[in-house]
Amino acid sequence: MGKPSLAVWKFASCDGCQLSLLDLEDRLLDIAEAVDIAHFPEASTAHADGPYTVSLVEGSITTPRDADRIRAVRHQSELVVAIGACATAGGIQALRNLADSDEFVRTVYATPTYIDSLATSTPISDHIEVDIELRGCPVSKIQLLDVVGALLAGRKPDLPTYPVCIECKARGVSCVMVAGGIACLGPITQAGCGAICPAYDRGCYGCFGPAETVNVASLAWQWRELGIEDEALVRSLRTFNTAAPAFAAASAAIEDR
Amino acid sequence: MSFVLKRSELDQLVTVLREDGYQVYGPVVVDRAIRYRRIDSIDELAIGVRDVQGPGRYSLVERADDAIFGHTVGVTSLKDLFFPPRRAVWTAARDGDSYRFEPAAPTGARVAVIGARSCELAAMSIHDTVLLGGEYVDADYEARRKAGFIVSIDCTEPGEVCFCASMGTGPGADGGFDLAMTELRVDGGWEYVGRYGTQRGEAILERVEHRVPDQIEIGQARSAVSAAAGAMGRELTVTGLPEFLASHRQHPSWADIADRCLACGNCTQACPTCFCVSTIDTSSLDGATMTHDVRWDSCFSLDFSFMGGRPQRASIDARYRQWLTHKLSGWVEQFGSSGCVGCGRCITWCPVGIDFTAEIPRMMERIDG
Repeated sequence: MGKPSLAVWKFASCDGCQLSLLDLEDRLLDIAEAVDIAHFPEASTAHADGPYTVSLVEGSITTPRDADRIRAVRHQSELVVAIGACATAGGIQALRNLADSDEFVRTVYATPTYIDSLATSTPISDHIEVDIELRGCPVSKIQLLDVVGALLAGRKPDLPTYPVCIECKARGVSCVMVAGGIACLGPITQAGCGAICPAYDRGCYGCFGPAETVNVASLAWQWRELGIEDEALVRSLRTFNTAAPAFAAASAAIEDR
Repeated sequence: MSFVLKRSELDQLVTVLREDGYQVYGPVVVDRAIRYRRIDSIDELAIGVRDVQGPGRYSLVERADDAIFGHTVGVTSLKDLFFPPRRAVWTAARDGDSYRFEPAAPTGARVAVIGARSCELAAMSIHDTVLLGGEYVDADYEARRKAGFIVSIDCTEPGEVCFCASMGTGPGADGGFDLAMTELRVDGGWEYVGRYGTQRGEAILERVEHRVPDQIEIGQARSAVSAAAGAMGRELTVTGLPEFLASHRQHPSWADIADRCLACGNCTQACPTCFCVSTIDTSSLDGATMTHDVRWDSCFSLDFSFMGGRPQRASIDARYRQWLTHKLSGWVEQFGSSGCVGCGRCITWCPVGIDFTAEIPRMMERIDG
């Protein structure tokens, strides 16, 4: 039996999640030892044809060509892992979903002949069946390594869906909202980053997308107590995970009020 | 038996503990709040600082004096030191076609804490019951507890969210310490009027310069602590409370609280008695080794009640009700005491400031009215 093969695919994205994989540095040799890296454009021009044991997919679907390409990836892959906010929620480029994308094209390009893009940016799971989703902008390299290890060992990956607050308290970080009056999306954002931003005395900006339970109405009330207007909360919800259903619904609800 | 230390002698105590191989922890200002951190000297402690706490609010202000312990409890508690957020239970190494399992090596760390409060000692006593008192003993906790050394400080200036007097857990410590002290302002200086809790405590203090207090000093320390009992920022009527909560599972207030509750779990993580954990497995990429860890979890997380293919407590009100009724009602039946020690952390560190000492009287009024 040969080694399992790993392919890394890029769709509409900034390559930051692929860089997280490269950023594993001292673990890269272990990974290369455990799997054959068949396709990884950020790292190498080498390419091996499928089928693949695991495909890591970065980026969202924004063109008709990519909508076809992702189906080909699924077809050749035993397991598909969507990595990052673009692949799991449509990314920051999903802001176009709230606007007229044709108008953007007309404004930006003098002769938009070669522009063939979809009106929306959508997550991979809107197009194919996804086995595992890794949140974040970018993904946590610890989670990425854990998922690869879990798939190789046939165990459950450690992907908690509770909020960032749990990781803050585990780290002994005092709450930036309670002790600093800083706007923080931590209570409604999924854990997994290790509470990086609050540990640096900043509010969480929600790059891991909605936690399993999202009570934005209550958070909005608290932000107002801190002197932060609803408009700022709407903008905070409309970043990397603007199209994640729970954030999209919440920002629309606040705007409608 | 009792003793008095000067401030310089308190520092000697730290030195003696360190000489004995203890990692000494005390309340330190870190970022925006006080938390336990390892210290080498009392100079690192939160000197001249007072905490102002309220529902969903915490800030530090400068004191007019340079008291070392002129503040109340910080964001972390003894739980963080004796029942840490994550630790290994066992490891397994591949051995031919099978795996060889080994219990995790017991921690070698010997932790000494200076400045533990009576509510925290009460919380640790609850943990002793929960984690050591049953059929299955938490070996890691047991090792940490046996190796630990506790110097407690009586509270003389309770905070706005404190209600240990209601819970019978403070403001002075009755037991659970090796040494206990009251910080007193005397003639422009500071004295630490103390008492022994254990022989181990006595043995350590023998190596620190000290003197025997006179009756006046002992009286001053006692009256400072008893005055504090009358100065609590909050109170909670506990008589009949377990029965009330147990018989009002359908109370309309649960839904009202759930409108504000973020289900973020901060209350459970900051609580010094909440002990719920989940288990996580990790493995090396080549599959040669595996580790089984326990990590703090929360009854506010959906996964925590995942049984039979779905979370059993899907709504926020079900989760809040579970937490509060277990803490204040079910706990009594299960472990013989309330699960609350009145430290107020769940009130302060709730990002939206839900305060059950205010919610419960409202709930009771709604029934009576």
